Amino acid sequence: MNKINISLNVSKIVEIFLIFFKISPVTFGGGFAMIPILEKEIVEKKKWMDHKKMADILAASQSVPGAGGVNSAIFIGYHVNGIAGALAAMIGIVIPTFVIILVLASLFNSIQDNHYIQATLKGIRPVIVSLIAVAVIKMGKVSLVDKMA
Amino acid sequence: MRDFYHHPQCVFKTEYRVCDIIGSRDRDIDCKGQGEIFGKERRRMMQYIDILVTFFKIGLISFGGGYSMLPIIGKEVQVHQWLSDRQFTDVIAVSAMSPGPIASNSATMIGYSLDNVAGALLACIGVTLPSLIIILILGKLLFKYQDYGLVKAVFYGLKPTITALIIYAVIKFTVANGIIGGQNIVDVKSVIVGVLAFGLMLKTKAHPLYIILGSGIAGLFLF
Repeated sequence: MNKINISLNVSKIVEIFLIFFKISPVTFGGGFAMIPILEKEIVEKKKWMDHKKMADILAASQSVPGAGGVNSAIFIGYHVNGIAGALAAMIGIVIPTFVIILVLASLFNSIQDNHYIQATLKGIRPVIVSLIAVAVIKMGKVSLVDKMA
Repeated sequence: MRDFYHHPQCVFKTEYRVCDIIGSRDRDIDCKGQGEIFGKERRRMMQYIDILVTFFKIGLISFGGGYSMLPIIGKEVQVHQWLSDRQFTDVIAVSAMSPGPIASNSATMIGYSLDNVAGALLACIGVTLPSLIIILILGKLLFKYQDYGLVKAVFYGLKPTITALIIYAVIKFTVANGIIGGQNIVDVKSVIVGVLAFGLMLKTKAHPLYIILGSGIAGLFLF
């Protein structure tokens, strides 16, 4: 019985890690853009929490010091699976961007003026705006709860 | 202890401290030479600690995340004389164009420029650690007291504020990237891509990741 519990736990921790590992490389524009992706993965697919809980966690994450994206990852990980979950989420969200930044830092001069990279980024940027706008709608639905008189 | 006071090269008090540690094993060691090797390693160690502590401090006091952390990081860089202004601008440029939080991105890059991968790791850990500690504490308290009236009231007020903050982020990101208000006032192609993506995300069940990928490819053809 105990063994089953532990292995279930491990697979959940791995799942948490993989979700944030996958989200991390596309979190352009800081934490807000990843909100719709988080909703999709964690609320709709995995059903680890409902929309309201998610909004609570996101609100709390933005209110404490530190980067919003990392904060919400840690918080969600903690909510789903305690301290181990928090650590898995944190490592998952940090490693990909860490590696990407190291590569970029060492190649900075050659990519700065590369036309194709700039064009790709230019295509991605408006979508980041849309992502953040979708986050407004999702957040608004659960937080602007009072009916106007 | 007694003998070190009379060691020929340990006249000064500062040197005496180094001799005290090394000399206590072998009194005949050339105190000054050893001290220099020791000092070099120590300086490196001190820089490691300095990087870790500085970024821990930045992580701890940076409310709001993202762009609002940049002035704090800039100040520390200036105080420590880590980078020139030009270098710091480059760091921000790369941090902003790559995925991930700007704060930890720039921390990683500054650390990298100071001491390669070791520096990058320390800076990244330093800036992330406060988040982990604070949220572990806060999370525990929050789940324990989540049904109390006061906690509910806090969230009741907090969530609309965060919603407003996200609206602000939309506007800022739009302007900062020249999608609106840039050289062409309205960058038509970007706006079309943005509106299309917005509609797709709201109306279809398409995964946002694919929309981002698609927009990157579209960018290659459009721009």
